[in-house]
Amino acid sequence: MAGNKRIMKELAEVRTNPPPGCTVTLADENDMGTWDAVMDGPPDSPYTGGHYKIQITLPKEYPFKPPQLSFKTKIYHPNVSNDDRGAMCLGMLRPDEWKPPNKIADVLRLVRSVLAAPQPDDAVEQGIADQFKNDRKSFDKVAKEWVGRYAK
Amino acid sequence: MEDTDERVEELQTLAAIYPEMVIDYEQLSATLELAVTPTTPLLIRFVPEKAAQRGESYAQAAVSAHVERDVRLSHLPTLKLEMSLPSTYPADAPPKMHLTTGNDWLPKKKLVDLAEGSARLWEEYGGCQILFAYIDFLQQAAERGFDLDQTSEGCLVLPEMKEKLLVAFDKATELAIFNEGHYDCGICLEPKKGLACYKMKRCGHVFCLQCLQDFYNNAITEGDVAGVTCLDPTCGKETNANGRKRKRKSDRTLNPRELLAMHIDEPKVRRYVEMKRKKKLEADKSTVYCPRSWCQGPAKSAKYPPLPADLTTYPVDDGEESASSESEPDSLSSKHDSARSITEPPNPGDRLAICEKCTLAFCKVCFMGWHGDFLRCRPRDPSQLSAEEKASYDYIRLHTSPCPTCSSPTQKTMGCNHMNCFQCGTHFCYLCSAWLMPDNPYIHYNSLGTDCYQRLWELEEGDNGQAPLDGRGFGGARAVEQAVGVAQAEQEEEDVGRVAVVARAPGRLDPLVEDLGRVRLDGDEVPIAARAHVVPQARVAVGPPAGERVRRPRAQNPFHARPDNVNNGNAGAANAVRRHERAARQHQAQAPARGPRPPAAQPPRAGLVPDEQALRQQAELQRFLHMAMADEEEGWDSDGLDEDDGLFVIR
Repeated sequence: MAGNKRIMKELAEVRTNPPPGCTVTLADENDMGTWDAVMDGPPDSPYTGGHYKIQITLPKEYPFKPPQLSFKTKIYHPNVSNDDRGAMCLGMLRPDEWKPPNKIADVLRLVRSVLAAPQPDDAVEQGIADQFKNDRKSFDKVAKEWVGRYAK
Repeated sequence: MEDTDERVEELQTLAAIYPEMVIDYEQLSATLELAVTPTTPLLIRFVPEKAAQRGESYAQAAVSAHVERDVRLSHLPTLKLEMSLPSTYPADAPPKMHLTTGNDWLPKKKLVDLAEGSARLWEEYGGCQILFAYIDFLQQAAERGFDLDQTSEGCLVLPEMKEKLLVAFDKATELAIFNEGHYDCGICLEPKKGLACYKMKRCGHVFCLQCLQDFYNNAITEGDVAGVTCLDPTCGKETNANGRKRKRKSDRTLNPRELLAMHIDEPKVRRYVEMKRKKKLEADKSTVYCPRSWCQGPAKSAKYPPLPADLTTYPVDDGEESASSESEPDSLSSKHDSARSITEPPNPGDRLAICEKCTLAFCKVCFMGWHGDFLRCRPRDPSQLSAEEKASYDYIRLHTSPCPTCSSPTQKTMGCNHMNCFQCGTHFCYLCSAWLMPDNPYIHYNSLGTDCYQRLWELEEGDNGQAPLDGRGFGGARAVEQAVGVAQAEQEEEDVGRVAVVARAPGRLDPLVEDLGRVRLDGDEVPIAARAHVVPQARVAVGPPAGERVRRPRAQNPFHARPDNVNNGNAGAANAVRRHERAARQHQAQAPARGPRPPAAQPPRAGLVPDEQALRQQAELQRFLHMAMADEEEGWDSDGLDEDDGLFVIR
């Protein structure tokens, strides 16, 4: 399958030249379809100092179908669902928006920029989004607290 | 001896610079072909044969109003230079030059002029070796397009018979240059030879053929017509950025000819165009379907011509441009139609429809076999639905939401309530069928005071087709319409009897009188309709203030999925359908008043100040009175009737 070759290429590229703040490994060396990424919380955000484990699942039609992302480390963020799925709603990952030339590295870069600048109008967690908009201070406080509790 | 040496020497030097030059050292002559690729593509006007032959000037030819075409070409047939060096060259005589072009595309006069350039150059240089300087002069002239844009016509004028040849040459050269190149395919991330790549016609993005074939074959197999666009992530985004002139995604889908050029199998490509056409037909509310239950094909329509047997003849513009631009004049003309219908009945000929599958001729209004122009007919009575139709209709009503643009019933199996219509691409809310802003659909769920506030993820796993009665079901966005229908039905029960008396009173004289009765009946409905519309509004307003509401549990779907008295039996499904029809007609009647694209079926807002609400109700009532009046007249309008029918036709 042409996809496997591409995944290998991408993996090699991501390993030699990872997007800022990210390290990527295969969850299982025999399975190209599941990647484990560790992303450092971006500086100047409440997530600084946190390390977030993100699992990336590549469908067997990859790159024709978008990869799926899930936060394995809990994070207090309006765009990441606060449950065991840790789903993130990224426009780029929607099936009708996804374009095959997009790479995992691009996805990770986008994820990191969303961590640095949450998009409360596109929120998955409405409560957190409201807090982010109306009471930034306590949002920052809880987010930092969660970093200490879950993401060290 | 020395003389000869000098000439031979010069030719040898040239041979080193232009290895493709053919030199005859015996005759001391040489030929060289120079590529003609002007830096700005050359504008050529092809005029019909006769005018060009008669040697008329372009102006005269234009007056004779023949079809002419302006074409810009970047590659033109080579300029062939034949030179011979006389024995007196270079000291006492200039070299002899003869120029020709492939397909004789450059006018004789120009060629002679260029050839004479060598003598002028020789004189300018004071009688030295000028061959290289002359070739350079020709190449520069070619890059400037031989200054053909400086002529009185402003372009090169050629007889049209040359068009084919020149265009073919241009394309072939371009392809040859492309095939020579190397490209990095953005999908498999491998460098590929041009020969194994394809360049998109519209945007020029390049991908390798293997990846394109894999992707498009997959998309076509899955039925994802909208996905058959250029794969570049940035492609088509620019048009979206400048706001209003937003192009719909389907506008970017590829022409089948391109798919064929990528060596995608003809049956696949045919499936693609068929699906594309079917989608457009189904998204068009004016499409009428064959009443034969085993056929149900769409009626022939000039807007959607049948597919050509040979896909290479598929029109370039794809009808997309015209379809999108048509939509506006269309709505205008339909407005005009309804205005006209007030004064005169619609053209009876408009009722004839012919099924494109089984060629049945039928009437668009009564859905019976064609009865001729002169028979007065009525729309089909929805209570005559077959059991099968009823069952499907009930399912559609209870488990789907209609797209506000094309009415396609949509069922959510999982995910959030922001829907994107697979048929027409409209963004809408699954809960209330409201039209959502494509740029920021979520604002609908994030603004305080709307009925869908904080309900983006309600029914996340869908209702799995379960009945709404157990509290898990959805009930469909049509539940609002149903609520209207129920309230209306209660009133109707009383009124119908009364009106029936009015209608029957003069006795059944002739159809015209009966029609008058009908019209009066519609008039009678005005207050009913108004009251009916108010009812659900009041009901919703009773609920707790929106601000206090945290996410609602599923069981508390505010829309009564199935009105109680429908179950209690005095009204069967068919009656519900009829009531729904009526409600739908009111919705449609409402639509134009709110502007071209209303947030359809916007549920009433909770949490308004009572006074404000009373005012709103008053305004609402007023508008309804107007609409209902209009409706009275539209009793004649077959267009309106068609649309009603579209809602219960089971697809």
